[in-house]
Amino acid sequence: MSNDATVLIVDDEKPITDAYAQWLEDDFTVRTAYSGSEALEKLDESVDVVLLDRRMPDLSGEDVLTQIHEQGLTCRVALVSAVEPDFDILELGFDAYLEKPVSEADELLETVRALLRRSTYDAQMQQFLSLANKKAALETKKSPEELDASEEYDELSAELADLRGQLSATATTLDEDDLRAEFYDGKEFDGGDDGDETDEE
Amino acid sequence: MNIDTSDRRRLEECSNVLLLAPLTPTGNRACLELLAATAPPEEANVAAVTYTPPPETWISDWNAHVDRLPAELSFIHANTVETTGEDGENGVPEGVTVSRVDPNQPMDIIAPLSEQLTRWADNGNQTLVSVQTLTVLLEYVDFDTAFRYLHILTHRVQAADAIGFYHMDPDIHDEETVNTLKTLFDAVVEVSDDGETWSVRETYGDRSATSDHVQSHDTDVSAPDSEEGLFASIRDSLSGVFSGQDRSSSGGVDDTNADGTTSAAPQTGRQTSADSGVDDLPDDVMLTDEDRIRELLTQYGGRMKQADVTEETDWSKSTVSRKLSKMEEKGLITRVQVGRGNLVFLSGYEPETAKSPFEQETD
Repeated sequence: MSNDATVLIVDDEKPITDAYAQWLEDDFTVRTAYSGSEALEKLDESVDVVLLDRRMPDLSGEDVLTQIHEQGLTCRVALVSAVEPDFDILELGFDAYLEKPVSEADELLETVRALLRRSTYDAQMQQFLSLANKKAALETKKSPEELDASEEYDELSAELADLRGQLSATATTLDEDDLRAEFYDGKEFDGGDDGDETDEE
Repeated sequence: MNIDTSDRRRLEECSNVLLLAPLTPTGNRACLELLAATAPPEEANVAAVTYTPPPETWISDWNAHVDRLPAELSFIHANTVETTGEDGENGVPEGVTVSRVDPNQPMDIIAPLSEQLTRWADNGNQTLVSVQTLTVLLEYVDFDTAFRYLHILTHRVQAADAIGFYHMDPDIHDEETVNTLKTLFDAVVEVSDDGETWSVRETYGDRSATSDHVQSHDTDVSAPDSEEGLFASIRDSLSGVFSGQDRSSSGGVDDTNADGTTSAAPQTGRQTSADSGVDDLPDDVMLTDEDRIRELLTQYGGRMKQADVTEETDWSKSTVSRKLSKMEEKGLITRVQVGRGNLVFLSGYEPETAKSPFEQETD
């Protein structure tokens, strides 16, 4: 997944943006923006991670984040700031925080990778839950004999087993910070679905 | 690799078990006995995640049913209510650790549990994790969060080579909810209301090879011998579980309560939950109906299904409902609608999110 991942770097200081781009371009598809408004132009569904400078002249990092949420984009956003924020970045909707100046390519790479891991886990988990719901719905509706004869049920079971293994491998890579963020996301994006509306085929 | 080998390997890899058992002293006992049967207490590290009954209650129940405490015992009590005031840790023996955490924050449970599992990693014992109960957990967080939380929890348990047992009452939740949760576990053990019938089913096995061993201790069951791993140990345990004094490892503790009083203790009805048989609750004329309900709740561990109150008292549903309403007005209990019925919590035991006024009558 990470090879196809797209990272948008946003900073009004051009040399910084370009340096970050250089560090990341071997591993990811990189887009750059030198202002908040330019960032909004370059944002779309295919962006996975945004590295967002906090203080910019026209639109601030927070303004861009608000736009991202309003457009319903699912990208992960790391706030890049010279001062450590005095608020809980998760509460404000950021996924990670990087202190400026970022001087090591590895630090930047690691942050992007962590955010991608969370995205991967999140996507796999959503799919797993949706399959689990479907399977449960079938089990509720059909008799054991019908289930035995059902190809759909067989496929669902196999898919679930498969996905469960992948999910487990992904979960191994998550650290405590990732998990804290994961439980925030869980509330934000999936709240309200009680997991019992699974009739669509 | 032939099928037989892969089957066996899968069984040995089994590390997370959903335990479907009633939310009664019988169900509680099933949880404890299953833990004790999986690994001998003197070779076990047990991390217990508890929601409603405090660690003190867990320990006294364990003492009553299993006798020896596990070699290492640690509680993560997901309840911020201090149960016994200043001297909160009363009844917890030395060496047993208790962390009180916020039940609304899954990471507050996962993080200390992971640390505990790591600390035990090399002590040579089998590590067991017990979560009691998912039924109450689901009152604190929405279903999606609970599902993710349980996934991480089961993952950590597996990674630590531990074995986890997660209790829930299947009658309280709708079938789809239970079936959805099943996908997170390697196996499901189901215990009947009377505690006599147990079935074991592998979640991810080839269905043709599914083990579904229904056993009752009315019939003499000889332990299966061909398989290894968790299933074999569960099956081995089944013939012993709940058969009282026949069970060599429990040494007939059923005859006598932990403190040495016999279960025939007269009139007070104060013998605590040491005995799982609520039948033993004396119909004491001195007890008011409200006392009796509170007594029942205490025996059940601070929470019980409203339907069980009806069953235990032989009062009509509407009588029970009326009495409970009154008690609720007085602040003695809280009722929470869960899935298909009401759960009754002793005051101080209820999930915090449920402290809003009771809104719906279901009876």
